[in-house]
Amino acid sequence: MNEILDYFKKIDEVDVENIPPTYHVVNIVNVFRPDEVRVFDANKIIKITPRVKERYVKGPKAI
Amino acid sequence: MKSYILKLPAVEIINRIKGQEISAEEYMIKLFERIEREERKIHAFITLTKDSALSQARIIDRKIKKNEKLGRLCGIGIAVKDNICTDGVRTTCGSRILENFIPPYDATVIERIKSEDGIVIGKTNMDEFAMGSTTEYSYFGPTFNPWDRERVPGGSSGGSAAAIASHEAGLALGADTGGSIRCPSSFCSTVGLKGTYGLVSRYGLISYGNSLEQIGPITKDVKDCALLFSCISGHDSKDSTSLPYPAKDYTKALVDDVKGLKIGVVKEFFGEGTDEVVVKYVWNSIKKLESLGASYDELSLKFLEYALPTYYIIAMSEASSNLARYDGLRYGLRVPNKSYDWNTIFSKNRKLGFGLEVKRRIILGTYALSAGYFQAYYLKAQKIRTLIRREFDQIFKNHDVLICPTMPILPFKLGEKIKDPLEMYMCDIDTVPANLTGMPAISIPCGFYHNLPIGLQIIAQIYREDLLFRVAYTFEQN
Repeated sequence: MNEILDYFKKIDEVDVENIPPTYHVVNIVNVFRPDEVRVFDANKIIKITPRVKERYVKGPKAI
Repeated sequence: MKSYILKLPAVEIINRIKGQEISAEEYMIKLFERIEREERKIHAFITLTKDSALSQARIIDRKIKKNEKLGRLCGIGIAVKDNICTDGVRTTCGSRILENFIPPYDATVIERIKSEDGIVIGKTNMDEFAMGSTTEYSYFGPTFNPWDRERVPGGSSGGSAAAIASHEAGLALGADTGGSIRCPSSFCSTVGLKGTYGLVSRYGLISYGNSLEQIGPITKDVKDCALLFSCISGHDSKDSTSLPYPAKDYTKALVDDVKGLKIGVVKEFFGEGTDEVVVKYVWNSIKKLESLGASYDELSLKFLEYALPTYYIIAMSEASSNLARYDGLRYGLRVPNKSYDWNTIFSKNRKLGFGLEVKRRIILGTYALSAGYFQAYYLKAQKIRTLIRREFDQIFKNHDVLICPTMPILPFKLGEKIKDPLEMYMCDIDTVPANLTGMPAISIPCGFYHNLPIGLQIIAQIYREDLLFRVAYTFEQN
């Protein structure tokens, strides 16, 4: 792991003063779409949940 | 009888099904006979969907008989990488943590291939969460290269490329975060395209590095690739990073002519560590395109040597955030002990569910994003990304495409690089720039050296897939 981090240090050689970051390559902002309700079959979703009680997801003990 | 049909390009198979030379059902039966034989040697698939594929084929045969309108992918068997969600079909991402995950919905690309009458035949093997370049990191065991079973098929979409190379599928879908479509295409002698970021919807793609990854085709030839890409690309309102353009018909870009095109040959793509054989084959390909009327000149990209560490810092950072959702509570692996508290159970689930390489990337990514290191690693990498993109933009002002190797080396033996992660990362040196910049890149076969395939990579400016198809098609036809 340290070897990998050492390799990452290679980027220190580059001067990035006044260079803006590119978090995303496409310049699209504020994307909206109609807020349409999509109904999923609850049984289909609950079927893949490891622990269930009735139709609820069962979490670990809180207290 | 008719078993040769499986070796034809998908476009030919589709035409024969539409022309009723073979029924969709007959083709599908033959395909699964082959899959059953080949899988013992190749292990391209994690899950097969034979029953639903056969019933889909019968539905298509009825449509044909009734003279109904047929989709562009009519009846063809499509192998889908196992990080693309399929309604009702197990989607594991090559991981133990999702071993029994059955998505309740289809990814947009799956909806699209179904609406074009394409048939999903199964889910293909991959490195766990697409983290790897050999498919050896799959929880379900490795895939073997159909050209030489002692060697890796490349990765992370190794199952999809191996399925195409061994004629176990007509078409295949892969996904490419740092070369995961192009690398196995190079190693398996298939055609693989990562399109412009945002052209293909990521809705239903299990995220690894979300600002880098794209779903794309892996196919037998360039024409098949253009067809599948035309079917899956185009705006999707369910993906907020989807570009607001309608789908194009890229088969129109299949022009056998490169006269007047300008090719850039960047010397850093042929740098230290590149196999001499690969260099020779790629140069021969460039000369061939020159003889067909294109011209080339040699260039240098100052920041290209920083692309690999930049890519890995960004990819790992995004991965550490994207994989935070796997807690084993709502879905996924959950350890049975009931007495654990929340933190303990999440940790136990993740410890048991994730493999070594995934854990390594989560830890390194978390480190690169942590307070104090954020600026030195993550932010700095994003700034270098800007510099790399600017350099590419500059080159594309007076060049149409860049040509370079897809992989710096020939397909290597299983186990050869798995012990040294850094050496494994180095394999991605020529493929990651297209992901960092969002630019489209295709890998096409350019020959064999002692029965081992070599891939040629063509890169173009954003939205210029048409140029990739034109150059790739011309190269393939001549």
